[in-house]
Amino acid sequence: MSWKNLFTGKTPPGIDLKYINEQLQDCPDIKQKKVYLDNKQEAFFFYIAGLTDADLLQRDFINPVVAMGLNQLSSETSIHNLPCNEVTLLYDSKAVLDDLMRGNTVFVCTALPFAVSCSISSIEKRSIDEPETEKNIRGPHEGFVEPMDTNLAILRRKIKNNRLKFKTLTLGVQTNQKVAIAYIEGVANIEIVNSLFEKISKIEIDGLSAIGYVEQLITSHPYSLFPQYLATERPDKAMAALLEGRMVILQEGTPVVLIAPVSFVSFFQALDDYSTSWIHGSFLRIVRITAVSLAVILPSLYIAITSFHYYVVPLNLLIPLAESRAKVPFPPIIEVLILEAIVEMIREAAVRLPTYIGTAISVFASLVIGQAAVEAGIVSNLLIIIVGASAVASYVIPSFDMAMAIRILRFFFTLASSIFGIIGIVICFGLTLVHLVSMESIGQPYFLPVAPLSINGFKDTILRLPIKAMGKRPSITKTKNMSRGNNNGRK
Amino acid sequence: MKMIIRPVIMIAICISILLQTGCWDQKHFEEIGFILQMGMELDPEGKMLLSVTSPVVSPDVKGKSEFLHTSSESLVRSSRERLRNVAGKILQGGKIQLVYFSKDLAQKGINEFFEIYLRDPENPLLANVVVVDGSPKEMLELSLDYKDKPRPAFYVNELLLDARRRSNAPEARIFNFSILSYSKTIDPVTPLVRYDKKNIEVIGSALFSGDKLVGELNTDQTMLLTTLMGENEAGEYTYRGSALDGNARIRKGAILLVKGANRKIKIDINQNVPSIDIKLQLKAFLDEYAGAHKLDEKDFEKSLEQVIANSIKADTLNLLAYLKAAGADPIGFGEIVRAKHNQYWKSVQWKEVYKNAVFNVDVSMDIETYGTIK
Repeated sequence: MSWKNLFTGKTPPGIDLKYINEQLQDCPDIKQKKVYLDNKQEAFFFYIAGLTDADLLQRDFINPVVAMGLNQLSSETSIHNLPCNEVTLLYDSKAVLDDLMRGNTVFVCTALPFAVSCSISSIEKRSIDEPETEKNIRGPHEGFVEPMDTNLAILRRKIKNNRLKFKTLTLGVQTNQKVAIAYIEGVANIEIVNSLFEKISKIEIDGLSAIGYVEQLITSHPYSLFPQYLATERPDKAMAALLEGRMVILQEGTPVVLIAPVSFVSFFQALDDYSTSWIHGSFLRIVRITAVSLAVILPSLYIAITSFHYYVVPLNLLIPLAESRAKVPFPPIIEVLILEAIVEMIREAAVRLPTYIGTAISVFASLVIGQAAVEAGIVSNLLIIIVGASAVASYVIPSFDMAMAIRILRFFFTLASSIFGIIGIVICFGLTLVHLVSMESIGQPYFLPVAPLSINGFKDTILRLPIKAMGKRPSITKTKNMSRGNNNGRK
Repeated sequence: MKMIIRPVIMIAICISILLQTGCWDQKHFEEIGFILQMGMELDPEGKMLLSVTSPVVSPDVKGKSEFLHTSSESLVRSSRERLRNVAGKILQGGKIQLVYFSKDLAQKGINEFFEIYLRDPENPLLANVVVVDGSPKEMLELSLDYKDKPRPAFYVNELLLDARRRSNAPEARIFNFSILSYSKTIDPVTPLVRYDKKNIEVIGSALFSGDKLVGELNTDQTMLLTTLMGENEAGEYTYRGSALDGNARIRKGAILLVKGANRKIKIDINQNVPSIDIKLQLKAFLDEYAGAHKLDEKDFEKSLEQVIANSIKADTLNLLAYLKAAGADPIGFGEIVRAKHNQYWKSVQWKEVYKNAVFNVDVSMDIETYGTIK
């Protein structure tokens, strides 16, 4: 059969065993079990070896079918009495193949007008462990896994409510992957859900090996540095988002889910902020916000001061700074870029290390290399502290995407400050702010509590106020059901 | 494609603009010679002599080495340009901490030398104005060899800071000196220092009338002056009289740490002469007292307080008489007269009538604590 036929060849009507066999050439993972009904009529069971529970297959499907005989099998009602959990009847070869690829076992007999499909799958999967990338201290320690059914079950287990809905669709021209949008009916704004569904259903690519594909294909600001969907592996985070009226996008084959719509501050919120006292939570928020400002501004401030504004250096730092700079043959910008490049390379290398101890090693290694660089006279002492501090500060941000954005942003600030000094920093800050204010996350303002100004929204930004004070759902979700808890029952 | 072309063009334009404008006014930290001290005096020919020091920081130079050079040109800036020819670093005035004037120059008026500070925003208006008893050039030269002191600028800076904290020297920065010297109602006052081969010493304050030096006070008087100016933070008053019981001792007098000072100034005009009433209420901690340990007796304490208050009163009257004679008004009596007796203010020349002003001083002293011994 030619390649062209593979894709465009017409499917013969009805169940055609020859056609099915042709299509399954060179698929050694697909097994065919031949049986003889009533000891004369040839019939086949098709299944994928690694995806099917062999014991159940024998006990609940092959045994009863063979026992029933051709006569009984012709009646649809008796087929539905098979003890397998999901039985469907298929009427053409294409459907047989599709079902088979989904991991089902299909019984085909040329004497029957239909094929019988039954789901007795058993997929190899890892356990529901805490995500390595998003640890927390006081929350639950479970994470999403690759199979979507398990993930849906995890969500359902957390939200025992039939109003938790999943809108599913299949993506990937070659891969046929399931994608689902989870939302709570009556809490999430159904118009936003529908528009998100439409956006996702327009995706047409061969396959999606990670949820980042979905994210990139539906983003409304593809040239922006900042993430517009919050990626997480934590079911508790997804649950909190659903309860606030947001949507969660799940994809078959990845433990990472996307939360939308989100605002800029969402990327600085972590479950631990909520699971402890509001004072602790607020403290953590302040730490993170300080960290972000330091991560962005410290290196550029160093450059601005050492190459333009020497007069702002306090008198007592004047000579130590001059001493450390005097040995360095490069201008500050080159000095910073050298060290930043080293730190970024070590960080990238550490990600590929087998354990996540790598993250700690990266900081440590950069400091050691930094110390050697100081002794060799390539960079100054103070800069080691600055680059070290800003690197550590960028690791504080709970979201990987946002941490990345902040790190790249830092380079823009650094370059601007090397040309314009403090004015460059101010201009960069202004442009960043303009960009953030103009951005949207699925149609909702991205920089929300600030622009448009919403005093209520500030309750969960810089500070995390007591849960009692946060009676309203965030306005970014455009929910019609504003108050949390029993509607209007709040006293 | 269009979506990409536009930002690319924008970025190209931005970069070309960046490369063409004057963004290269960089001053790299390590290439700058920070002028920290600046001294001005008159040379024997009557020309202005400018001396500057700047710390030398270089991997080749060990220790606290300083660049010191002198130039005599007719302008401050042209002197700096001359100095730059020998400095080897870009001499910059952005961190000037101290501006010294010799007494002879200060007597001629010093405001004109602050012009570069007012024109160039990089030069700090926060630099301290200090009058030197002697030659600033000589002081800077000697100070380079102080073995047991930090770099001269840091040394003098700390010295002034500490003296200010103890109310032994007033605070005078270029910006407020400049403002006060132009004001007709109040005069500036600056710290006064002396030097020798081993030390620099704060010896009190220099009094100005306008921008001209007219007199000087020692540290004790300066402490009283800051009290009268309402700026006394924690001065120490030395009572030099004998003990109340009349017994002769090796130690004599008492030291009082002023904890709180309240002053009230009331000015009346009597027959065209200003009569100035000053009420001083002092609270103090008795730090040292050479006399009988009877402070727990109410009467004894009262009489000691009275004696000290009288002593302060006498000192204050002396101080005020000196200020009046010198024609310096750092306390700002003129300010009060202008505010409260404006008609009178307009009808007279303040500095003239100030010479005839009558002072009444009333001092009350409250010894709040005296430690664990009586």
